[in-house]
Amino acid sequence: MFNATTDEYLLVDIAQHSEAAFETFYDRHSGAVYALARRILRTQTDSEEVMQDVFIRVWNKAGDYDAARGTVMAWLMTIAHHTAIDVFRRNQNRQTIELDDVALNAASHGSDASEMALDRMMAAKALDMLEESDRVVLEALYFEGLSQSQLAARTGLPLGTLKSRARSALQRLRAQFEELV
Amino acid sequence: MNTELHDLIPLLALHALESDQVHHVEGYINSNPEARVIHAWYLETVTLLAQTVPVLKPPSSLKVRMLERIRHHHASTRVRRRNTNGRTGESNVGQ
Repeated sequence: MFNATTDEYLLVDIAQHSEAAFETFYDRHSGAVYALARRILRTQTDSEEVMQDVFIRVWNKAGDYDAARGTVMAWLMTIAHHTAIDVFRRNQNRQTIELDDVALNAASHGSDASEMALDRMMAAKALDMLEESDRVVLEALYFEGLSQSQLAARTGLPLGTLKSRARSALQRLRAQFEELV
Repeated sequence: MNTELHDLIPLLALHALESDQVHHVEGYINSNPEARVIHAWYLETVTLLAQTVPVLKPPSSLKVRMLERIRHHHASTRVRRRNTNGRTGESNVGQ
């Protein structure tokens, strides 16, 4: 039976191939997935390809979600991030559409619940509060799709230093976020 | 605890490992409950990065295409299942 209360329930219903549950889940999260895809890939075509791959995977693999391994949001955004980075690495010929063009089209997603919106705001603030050296490392690894070796080559940092900087930057991001919420 | 693999967990969460390293670290996580907890913690943390991007409404035509795809997919799965059951039924009859 369709239950619209939480993402976990929606995934249970999607695993039973409830189209209504899928539609609710899509309405709730498509804006976040699409935004991440556009941030990484820049182009609408590639981002739409990622969206389809991600949500088809949700449809097919909803039953694989394991709450012991994290929240639904983390599960979904991990799938979205991996899919987008894989497309990016496959293409490598990044288009030149500027992020500002994307921002012009940005719209508040109607189904973005206020709690989720607040989390997003606090996450952005927490990232802003990091030292630039931390932020640069996280953004290059996460949004630009660089591997640790590629970033080490770009920055001239030894791999070991880069590894510990990425780890401590994530820890500081989490600490800042938890302080804010 | 394998310190070398353990230290790579944050980079796995960031999807920033070389492909040959991914398999090793994933194997380590799957066989080590403590590593699983740490990996989950980093995945949640990395998700904060995704959340820093302002939500962007996808084209509405995309939703229509998605729903068509899942309907088509669902219908093909049902047909495949029916055919498989049919074949199973035939072979059972023959036994």
